Amino acid sequence: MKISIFGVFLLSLFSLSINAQEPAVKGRLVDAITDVPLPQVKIAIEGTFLETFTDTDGIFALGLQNVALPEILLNISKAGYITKRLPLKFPSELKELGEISLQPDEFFERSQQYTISLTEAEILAEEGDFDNISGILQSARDVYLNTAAFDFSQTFFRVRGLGAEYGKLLINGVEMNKNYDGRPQWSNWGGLNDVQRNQVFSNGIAPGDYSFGGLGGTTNIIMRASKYQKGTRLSVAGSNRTYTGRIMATYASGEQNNGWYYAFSIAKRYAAEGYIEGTLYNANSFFAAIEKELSEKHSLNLTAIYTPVVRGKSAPLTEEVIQLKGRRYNPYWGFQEGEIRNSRMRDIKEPIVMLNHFWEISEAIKMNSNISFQFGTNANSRIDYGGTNLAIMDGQESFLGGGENPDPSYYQKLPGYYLRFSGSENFEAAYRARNDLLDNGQLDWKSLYVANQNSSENAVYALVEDVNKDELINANSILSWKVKDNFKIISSLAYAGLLSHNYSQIEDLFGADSFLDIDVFAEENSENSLVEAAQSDLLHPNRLAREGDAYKYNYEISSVKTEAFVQAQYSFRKLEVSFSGKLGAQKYQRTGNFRNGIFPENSLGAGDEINFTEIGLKSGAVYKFSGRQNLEGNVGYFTKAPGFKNAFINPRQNNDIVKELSEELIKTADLSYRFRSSKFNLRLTGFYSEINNATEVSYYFTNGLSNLGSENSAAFVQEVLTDIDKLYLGLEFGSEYQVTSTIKLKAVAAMGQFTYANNPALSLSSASFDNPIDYGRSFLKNYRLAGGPQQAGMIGFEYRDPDYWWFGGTVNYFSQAFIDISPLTRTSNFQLDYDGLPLLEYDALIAKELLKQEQFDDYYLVNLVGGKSWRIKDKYVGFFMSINNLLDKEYKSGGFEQARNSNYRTLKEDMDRDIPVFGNKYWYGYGTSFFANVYLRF
Amino acid sequence: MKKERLLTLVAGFLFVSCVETDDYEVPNTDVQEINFEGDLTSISAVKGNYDPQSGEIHVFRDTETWFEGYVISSDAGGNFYKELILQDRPENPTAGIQILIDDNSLFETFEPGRKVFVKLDGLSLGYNNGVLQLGLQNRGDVVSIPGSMIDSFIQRSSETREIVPLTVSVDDFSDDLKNIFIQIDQVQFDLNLVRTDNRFSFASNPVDRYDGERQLISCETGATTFLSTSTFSNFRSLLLPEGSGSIRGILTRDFYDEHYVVMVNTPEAILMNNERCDPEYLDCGSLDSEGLAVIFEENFDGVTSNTTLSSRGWTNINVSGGEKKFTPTLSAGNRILRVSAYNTNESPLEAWLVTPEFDLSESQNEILSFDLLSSYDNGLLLSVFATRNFTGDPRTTVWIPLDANIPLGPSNANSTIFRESKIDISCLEGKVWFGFRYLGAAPDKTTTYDLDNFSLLVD
Repeated sequence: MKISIFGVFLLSLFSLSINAQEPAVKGRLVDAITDVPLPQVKIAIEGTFLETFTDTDGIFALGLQNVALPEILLNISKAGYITKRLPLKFPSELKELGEISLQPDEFFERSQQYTISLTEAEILAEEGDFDNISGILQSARDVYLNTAAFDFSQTFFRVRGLGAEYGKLLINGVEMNKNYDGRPQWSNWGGLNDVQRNQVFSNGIAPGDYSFGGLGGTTNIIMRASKYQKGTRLSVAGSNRTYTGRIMATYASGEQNNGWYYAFSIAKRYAAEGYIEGTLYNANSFFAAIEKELSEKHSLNLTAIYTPVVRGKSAPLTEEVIQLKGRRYNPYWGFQEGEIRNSRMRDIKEPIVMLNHFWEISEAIKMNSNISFQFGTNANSRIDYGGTNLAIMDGQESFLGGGENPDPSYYQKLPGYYLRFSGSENFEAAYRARNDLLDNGQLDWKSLYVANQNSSENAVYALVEDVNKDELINANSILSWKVKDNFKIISSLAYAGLLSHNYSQIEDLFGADSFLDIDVFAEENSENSLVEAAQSDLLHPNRLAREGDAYKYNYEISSVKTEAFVQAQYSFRKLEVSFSGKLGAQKYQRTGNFRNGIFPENSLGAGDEINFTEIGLKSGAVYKFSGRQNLEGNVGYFTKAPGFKNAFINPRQNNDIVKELSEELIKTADLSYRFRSSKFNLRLTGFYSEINNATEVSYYFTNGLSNLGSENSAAFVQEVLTDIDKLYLGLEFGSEYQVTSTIKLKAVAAMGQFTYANNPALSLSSASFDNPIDYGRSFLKNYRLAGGPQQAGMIGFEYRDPDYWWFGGTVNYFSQAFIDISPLTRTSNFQLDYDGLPLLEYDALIAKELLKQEQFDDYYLVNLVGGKSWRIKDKYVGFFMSINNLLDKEYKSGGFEQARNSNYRTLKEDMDRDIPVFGNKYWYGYGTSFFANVYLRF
Repeated sequence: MKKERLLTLVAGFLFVSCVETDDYEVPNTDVQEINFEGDLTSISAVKGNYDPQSGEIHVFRDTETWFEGYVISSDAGGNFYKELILQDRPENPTAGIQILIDDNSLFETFEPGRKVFVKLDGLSLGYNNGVLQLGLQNRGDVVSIPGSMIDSFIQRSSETREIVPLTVSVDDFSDDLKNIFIQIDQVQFDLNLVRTDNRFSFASNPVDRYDGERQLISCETGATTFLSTSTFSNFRSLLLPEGSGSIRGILTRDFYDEHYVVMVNTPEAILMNNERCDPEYLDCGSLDSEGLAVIFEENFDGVTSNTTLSSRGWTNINVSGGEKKFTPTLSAGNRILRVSAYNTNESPLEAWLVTPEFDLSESQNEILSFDLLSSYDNGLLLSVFATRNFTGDPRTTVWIPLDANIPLGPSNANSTIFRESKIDISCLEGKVWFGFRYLGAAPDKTTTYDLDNFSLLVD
């Protein structure tokens, strides 16, 4: 064993080709406990761009030519280990540092659980709105970001108030953000925590090594076979959060004969039910990577990731329902023959295969070229209760049937609904509704089967999936050129081509054979008869859809994105500066496969192309007062194309594009002060960002629309909000103090103010009216943006016992979380009657009260974490456990106003009720929850 | 080697799914046979508990009695709303009853043909909208059974039978047939409802408030009844079929309990592909005359009484033995002739208005023109005829039916819109009289008609 390592050591000496006569340092990094050599440890000379990584045997060598410093500071870091800073006198020739041991950071085991809690957030939010924090996991070496990831994330806290679409996520240098909404789909690599420990994160708009990045930072996860620490890792975890159990096994080969490396990891996560009732979970994860060093200068890596996950969703609930059923209640599920069955399942199967080529053109120039292919489906199920039968009389068609909304918490089934008429409340019915919800309150699957059985021909109910089937090709090339030791240029070219096929598909007909593919809610209009308007596809009228068939809507979005990026970094003795620029193009186009009955003219075939140009400029500087203190500032100005989710108004039915659509315009600046000593670390950052000209498209059913006449004031609408300006400003503070060698104290504060900065333009489109209606401006200025608390604080401690056990605790305080407001009620429509004239009873004072944004109550959360590890011969066994929300605090983590009541009259009427019929809907945070993990490394 | 074994173990575990996410066992939807304790009674016996004299709601208590019935209504088409209609037998029924239930998709559980058992204790029987209804008592009303309590009153049996409609004719309609699934053969919609240029829908015309009522005429007897369709039904905007044929539906009463109506579960219950069976209207070919010259005009100005009318040569009589006739009336400042059975006790009421004699031997391309208006419409009751030989008594005169535009007015309001009829009578020669017949019956056939601007035109 020793001999072979020595042999490799000798070999690598030659391969690293360090001339012993020139100044250089070299050494070997090992785990302080297991003595296992550590690959992918970063060794950097502070104040320069000189850096290198250890190879699979833990060996590094770093030439120091062109460094003219009397003393250098080696910064040795690796995820999962405590960073070491090593001062050295400048060597005149090769300096052998020998074996350097790195102490494992047990607290890093927390990352084992938190990827979980982030997926929880993703499940809670219907569209995965709150999962941006994941990116800063694991890689972050900063107490503030660590706290945001580990302690704040359970509340939907967002760093700098930004959603996931503003951060870039890369794997092996390939961008993974989806074109649909700009957000990375974390489920695509969920459960592979062991092989995602190598991450490079750049915070905010600080310069990165791979791409221009986004406003919210850039994370690159390195998943190359050669970058893993040799060995096996097995773990078993239990939790009461998203899943109840997880097993995980990982193996990395280290270097084999002939320059081969391989690594694989498999994991399974499962739950019959998570913290929220009925949220079943079944996820398998597979990862394999194989790499070959073709020559000294070329390496080729192939990585494949497949993580199919199926999970049950939970619903946002009104206060009325929560009071009756509690925060764990979930109306989406019910028992079917004794098994929990959830009607809203998310099923994601999107494997990724990528080929990465690394070419060391010269010692100073490196090129990394990647090609990646991702395909598969992302499907969300629901129950379609609009099944009908075709009746033909005298050659004329009509559709009979259509079921009831089977949701047991549907507003017409709640007690409040029966009490809605002040003075003539039906208390008896309300009481019955209450008891019915208390006693049953879950989806009655059997009744759906009975209904279909009794229907004369077609299904009344069907379980259907909204399927998004993507094929994505990414190709990029990153060139990094170290012109001098203190001057580095990085540039890249990237291409992404996506074909996204979207359709809904019949999954289960509950015993029936067919489903009549028409829209039971369609309304006739001036141009189309009811029978025509109801058709999903006029090319196949009254088609009978069967299980597995696409129905309702069927279209493709093609998206092409190209980007060029260049960045120069220059380092002086006291000052580092960087300049980055990018130029990109983004194109979207919709092609309809169905000719929709309401939009026969613009639903089938290709629509217009939408083109965007993305430009970006940013610059950063770090001024070092001393080795202990520095000041960093960044400024950036860039444009961002909207995701195609916000480019098409109603892509399920037509080719319409949002009018006057253009790129978002982002301006940002931040300034940080850092202090670092052996005992005390501190960072204070102030940031200011503007996002201007943003667009949001949303869908809902609403009452009380003006200018449509009294008969038509209710409709299912697409709301297009354009010209949205948002303002984000705030302070970040994080500090750690090592009181003794075993005790560390830490404190973190986040003070943000994230607001709408203008009054965006609002228009509504609908199948119920012919032309979009312009509602003018929505008076949103100074309303707060939704999405987690805008202010948070933490104080806590960590204790590390020399006997390898440790624990920590934090107390966290959250405030300034706000509900997501409905823009429609903030337009002039709010004051208008159905005929477009002002509502007679309008009272500005009451209106002001009605439109006040709800602020959630402040709350404290206490989290505990602890573990122990043992070394048994050459094996390493560890145990880790965390408890979140120890005091079982009940708190709202998010919520939104229902847009049902769009004018003063309807909203006031509803708010005057003791129990509003369309009250705000909320997500609640988990009560006390735990995660425990046992692992074995050898 | 050891670690490989471990990994194999782990890999094996992955494929053993602990969580059901895909294949669910299909629920057993077989209907449990009902075991109820108590006696079984019939629908007619249940109905017998209602005392029409007192009109009081009958509440069933401690009877420990159930009754059985077959579902004959379906709310799948939206025509029936929150009600279930049962009859006692699938074939040759003798009684039917309505149950009010607060659920708007009853067809999912209680489809037509399903045999059900209904527990009486707790239910109440009342008379409303012309039919007997079962439901829950709420002060002076019988209201719907709440959705959550359906199970405790109505139990499905496993038996479903095809419901064989009871074939009856319009003249046979009687209270005993209410809430029974019937078939009427050889009927058609009134010609005025299915004109090519003005074909009515089932229930989506502006005059339709909650229900659209469309007059059906028996080809055999000329008797009339109505098809009633909810304006919330899925087939409200279909156009009425033009031919003649049969209808299968449930016989019931209109909302105001004024007349019988037939309601269908689905438009497919209407089969009218046969030729129409209209009387042979006078057919002088297509109307190509503009009728520019007026040879006779009567706008009833100055007609303040029957005396004035008869002095102008008009005959105005009631031939059914009553008093009510066409009556000169001032309406919105305009003199018209009005006829209605409303507020009479005459059943039937047959009133005739016959014009003076005209001599058409000297003129060519004659056109008959008049304006009609209909208010408080509950049926098409007016017909227009011509004759070459008026005997003085309409009943002994041989009449030729004329295809006049009889308007369909609002059912519960006055109308102000006259509709013009222009009839080509160029093939009539010599002496001619025209007759307007009103055939009503108090209290349910009482449509009010106004007649104005009677004229004869030539080229």
